[in-house]
Amino acid sequence: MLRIRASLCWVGAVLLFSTAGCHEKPPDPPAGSSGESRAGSPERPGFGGDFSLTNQDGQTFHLQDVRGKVVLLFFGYTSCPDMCPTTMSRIVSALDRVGDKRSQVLTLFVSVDPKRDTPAALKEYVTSFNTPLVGLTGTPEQIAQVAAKYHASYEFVQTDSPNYLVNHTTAIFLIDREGQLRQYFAYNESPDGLAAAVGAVLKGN
Amino acid sequence: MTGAHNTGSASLWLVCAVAICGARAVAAVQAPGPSASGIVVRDAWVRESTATRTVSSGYMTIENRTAHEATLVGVTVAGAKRAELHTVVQEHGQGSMQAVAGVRIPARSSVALEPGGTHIMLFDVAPPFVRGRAVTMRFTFGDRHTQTIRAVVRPLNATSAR
Repeated sequence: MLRIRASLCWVGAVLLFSTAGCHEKPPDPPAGSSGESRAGSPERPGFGGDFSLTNQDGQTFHLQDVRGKVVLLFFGYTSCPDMCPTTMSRIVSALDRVGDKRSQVLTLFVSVDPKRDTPAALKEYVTSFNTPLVGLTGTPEQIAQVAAKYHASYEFVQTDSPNYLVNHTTAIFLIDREGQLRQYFAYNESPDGLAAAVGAVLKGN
Repeated sequence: MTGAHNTGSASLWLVCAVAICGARAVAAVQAPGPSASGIVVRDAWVRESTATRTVSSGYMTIENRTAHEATLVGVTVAGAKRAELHTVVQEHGQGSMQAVAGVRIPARSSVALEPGGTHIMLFDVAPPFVRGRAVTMRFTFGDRHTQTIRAVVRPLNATSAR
């Protein structure tokens, strides 16, 4: 099986498309392999930050432009058959539990597959979820830079097939109203757990 | 492994693409019922697809009412060129799909194929799976018997058959 890795080199944060020559994984992944939601120091991640990408309408999106909103961030791709729609459904379920402050929460779906995920493809995808959701794409270099900021990784699998898969970080990132990454969760975090954390950040805790 | 809840099993690393197919969508969901084999498949559903998003995934509960273990070893799905049994593996915070050779259903037990766990992955779906309609699935078990069921097409954000 042809596997082209697009892992993140942490020295220089350079995205390589090669079968060798790059650190395989980030040293401090956002979520544990055992499915833990609190691996490392997820309550005080110490990374993250602003970025600019292109949204589903083809417009430039700056994270700093949504100051005042609580943000949930997820890296995925629209051709993801299971993990991405499953995670997005969990996020929607969590937001259903947030109550009348739901409108103060914005969910960002950052594509790690810009080749297929054009703004038009993202628009079709995000409208399938009944929640305020922004789909973001960019150049491979832009995506790599954002992923590096959030210690996310991804690798393309079976790229000889038009329906190739992408292995990717599945953590859900919670960003506060000031743009600071406050916490991250394993993709299988329960909607109740996610809603509780979102609710606390909404209250300013 | 015994299905969705044993995703860490070493057997999951035995890669095996399991099926090729093609056919047509149908209009209604078939009520589950015991087959002559003693295998009952219920609450089967697939995610909707589009002209550009040509992948889907299938989920269901498989009940084995017999006194012998059964193993699902192959699936074909009408309208999808390729169907594979996959499970989600999490390693160092990164999720990946791993093909599995089969799904074991112990005697007098049920196994759930669920979102985020073991499921049926569908490639090259055309024409698109339209929500509210249904597709035909044909299962092949280790004893070579086959069983045909229908699965309802649910929205992309669905989490269950209903």
